[in-house]
Amino acid sequence: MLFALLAMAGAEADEALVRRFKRGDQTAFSTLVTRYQDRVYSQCLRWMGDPRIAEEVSQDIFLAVYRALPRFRGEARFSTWIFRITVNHCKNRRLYRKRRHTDRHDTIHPDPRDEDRPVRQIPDQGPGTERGVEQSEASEILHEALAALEESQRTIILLRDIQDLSYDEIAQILDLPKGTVKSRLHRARGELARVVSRNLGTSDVFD
Amino acid sequence: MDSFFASNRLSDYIDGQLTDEEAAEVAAALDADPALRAEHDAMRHAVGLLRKHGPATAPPDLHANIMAQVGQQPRTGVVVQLRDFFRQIPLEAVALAAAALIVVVVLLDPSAPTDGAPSMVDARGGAIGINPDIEAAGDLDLPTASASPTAPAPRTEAPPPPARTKEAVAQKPSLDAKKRGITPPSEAYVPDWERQEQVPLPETTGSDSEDTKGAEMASTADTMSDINVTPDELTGGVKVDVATPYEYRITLSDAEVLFSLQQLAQSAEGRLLDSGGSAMVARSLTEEQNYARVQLVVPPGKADQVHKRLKELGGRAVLPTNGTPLYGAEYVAFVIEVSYLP
Repeated sequence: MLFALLAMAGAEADEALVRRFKRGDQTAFSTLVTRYQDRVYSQCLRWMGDPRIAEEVSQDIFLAVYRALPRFRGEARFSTWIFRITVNHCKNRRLYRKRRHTDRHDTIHPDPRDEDRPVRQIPDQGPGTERGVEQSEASEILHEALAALEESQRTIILLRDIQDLSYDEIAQILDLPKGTVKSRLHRARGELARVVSRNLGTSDVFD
Repeated sequence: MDSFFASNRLSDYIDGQLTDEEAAEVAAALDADPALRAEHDAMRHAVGLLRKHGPATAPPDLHANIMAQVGQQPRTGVVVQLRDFFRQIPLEAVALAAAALIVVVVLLDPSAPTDGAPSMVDARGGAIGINPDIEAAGDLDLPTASASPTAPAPRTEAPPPPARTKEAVAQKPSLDAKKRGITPPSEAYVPDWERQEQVPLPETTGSDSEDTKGAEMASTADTMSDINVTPDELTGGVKVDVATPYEYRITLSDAEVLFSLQQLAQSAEGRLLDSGGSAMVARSLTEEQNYARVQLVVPPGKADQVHKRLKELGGRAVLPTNGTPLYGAEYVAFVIEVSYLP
């Protein structure tokens, strides 16, 4: 409840910051960057898989936001708008990197869905397995699992489970019907669970 | 709820998106189906892992780098608001304004021929076959107003482009010919009515103008060929010398000139006709309707009076046509281009 209230207050504050920025107040934009830089960077990092690239893309995103903000009419929430820009930038960068054959997901790591790849020997501790895994290794497993997802699935699952956006917001960002968002999210989570289970050496409940 | 339907609702169940009744049914299915329970646990585990380890902290210098890049961007504020204001103008409005501007520029630029509206240079030099060098010379001496092959033709005030005429299309000199300063022969185009009714020109009369009128001057008669009045109606049966060129093209610059021409027609016992040969009611010229091509048809005995009056009105003879009468041999026709140049 408190989080919801804070979120609502934050949404209002976003609009006020945008108004201040449109009046020429540069500090308002600095506040917006402070407020959203972690979320934007997280989205980029989990999408790109490379911290250096994620930082570059994050900078590009905020620069695009700065340029486009004067035209932001406030018809959608600022958070919805900035995540739409983020998703588009990530997709574009991925396409660019794929054309240059430099995508880390495609070149460094083997396909996590490959049945012949070596399985990590981590004892199954049930739902609390992540407690026994070091932070960095959990992050790496997560990264590989996300890389195994289709882009559309990865986009939705990141917006929902990392950005904590509602179904309606995701539908607005991706310009999809809410039902499509639900079904894609369900499939994405199922695929993620399958890959995570295999990578952690837990029993594969989907076979 | 069976396991299949419950399986398809696991994601919504984890997110708490189901109604209480649906959630209870899924919970019951999970209790009844160990495989479904395992599937649910794995999904919840993956989602938990993502929510716990997914969010990352931005590099410490990200904010500074962003603001440094932003500092190199144009300042926002008044400039941006002005820019946004212009960006809000619909593209259709911009396109319409641009099209209107182009039309205005074309209409006001007599030296820019277009397919739909040739310039006066084209209408005169092309349709009448006038040599540009001749065109650049001074006035002809009215009323005899004939020209030798090398005699200079008068320069006129450039009016707005008239509607494209048949002769303009047919006799417009080619670009190559223009470049070489060659005037196409006037006989390149002969209207059908002229082929049927053309009266042979007399032999040399000793006058330079009469010597050259047939060779150098292209007829504008085709523009008059559909005039549906008889010579007798116009002239009262007065006979004139068919070899004498009586047609002139005159340009005037006066918004009320059509009223003056109408008075002139009445005083000369003639008629004022529009370019199609219909009786014309005088009107004022405006910036929008700033051009008219009219015909003043008078008895031959009134020609000198008309010439004098037209010169008093500021008109200058552009070019006499050949001696082929437009309505027969019993009248004098003046083709007058009038324009209002504010």
